[in-house]
Amino acid sequence: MSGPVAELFAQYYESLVRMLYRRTGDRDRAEEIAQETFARAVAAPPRNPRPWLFAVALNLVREEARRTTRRDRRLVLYRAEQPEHAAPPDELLDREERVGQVRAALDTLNQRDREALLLKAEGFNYDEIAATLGLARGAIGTTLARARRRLVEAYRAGEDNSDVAS
Amino acid sequence: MSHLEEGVLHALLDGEIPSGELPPIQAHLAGCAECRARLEAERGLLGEAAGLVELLELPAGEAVAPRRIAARAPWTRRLAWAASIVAALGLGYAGRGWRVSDVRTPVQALARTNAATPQPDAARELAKAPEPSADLPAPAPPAPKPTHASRRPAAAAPPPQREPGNPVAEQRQVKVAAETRLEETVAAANRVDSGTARPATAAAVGSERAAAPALGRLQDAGALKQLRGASPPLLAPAEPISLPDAVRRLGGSLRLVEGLVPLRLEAQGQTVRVVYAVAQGELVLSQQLIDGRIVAVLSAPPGFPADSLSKLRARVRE
Repeated sequence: MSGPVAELFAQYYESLVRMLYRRTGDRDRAEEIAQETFARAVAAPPRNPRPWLFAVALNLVREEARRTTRRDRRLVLYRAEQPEHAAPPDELLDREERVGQVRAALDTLNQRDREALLLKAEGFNYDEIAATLGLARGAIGTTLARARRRLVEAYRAGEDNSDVAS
Repeated sequence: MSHLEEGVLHALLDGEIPSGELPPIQAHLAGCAECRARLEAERGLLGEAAGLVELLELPAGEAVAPRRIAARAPWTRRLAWAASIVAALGLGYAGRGWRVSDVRTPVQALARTNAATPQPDAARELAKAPEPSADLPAPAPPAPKPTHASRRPAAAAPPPQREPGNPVAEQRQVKVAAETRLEETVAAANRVDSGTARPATAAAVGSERAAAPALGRLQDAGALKQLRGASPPLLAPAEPISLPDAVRRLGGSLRLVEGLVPLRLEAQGQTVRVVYAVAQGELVLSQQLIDGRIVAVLSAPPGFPADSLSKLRARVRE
């Protein structure tokens, strides 16, 4: 990798993979998309790297979403997040359940709100979120407010349902 | 009295209100109990949402072989890169070993191929004057910082860029530093092989069109064009090498793409190149022994499908 892209890789790869994992639910796919993203950066090193990298990565995710069915993605989510060992302890089951509920709650957000939230979780400031998603900076506060509220409400609703079911 | 909008409250909590706009907001809060209460409610909401997101921790994967190094590669060179990145760097792929003693029919075929295949006209490509790269990226921006304390619950996975000496970040540095030296060789070799001014990046072709909207917002098109036209540094031409020599040069093993038959083996400086023929041209697995481990980069010709390249990356074996 070139010097400039090597710097980008060192600084942003982990964050990019984490955001992509949260976005897709599949660690392997997150790595693949991150690798493809950096391959593009190798071809054309960006001037504004972090928004560029994350924007390209999110575009790749959206492209894939258009090509695959939602059912297939859910299967991938299921496979990626199932443990491979026998009978995990209760606390692990509880945590897995919570992770599943968070992911389900995240899925209730619209794409823009969800992505803004995930970028914020990676430490993006409002200017960077706006640049990455192509939004006006003035809209970011409102977008995040809405995303946070919907995430929490959806999560609480999911918790209530699972309490009723159990 | 008009109250503060929800978006303003969150921007305030995120530390994103420009300093010039703060005084009127603070003045309003000082005089409005309702907005103060709303601000606290939104603070709780922000913290709860951040905590939920951070529950989605990255599961352990096989991606990076942990290894400590002393220094990262400096931001020194200005080049247009052609290679795609492969996930084969130091990865613990299981597979049969290909040692010096494993000299079988493919070796003989390679030997015959090496003797017969004409080398590309390196002198013509290397003689091209490099174009100035006027608009290259500045050094990477500072690492992201948390904008609000409430988004750091106990269960959070710490972002590596905020913690100097973090082993995960250092693992990435291993990968990066090792690749830096090899990448320069690969880019030059691809320029020689392809004989074109356009970088040979399979991932870029086709998908560049999809990335164009984001690129367009963030980059100057003229600068991008200049970057693509820049030439790599001068390097020695690739020379044929036998399989045993290649294996010896790489410390006793050689990585290959499983399922493909090599067209030829070449050496270029310290780099061994395994060249495969594909419909679009030549696929090259460049590898070098760096700090005791093989660092490999798979590069594809223009037009090579990104999906196929991903699959081939996963098939690189020792």
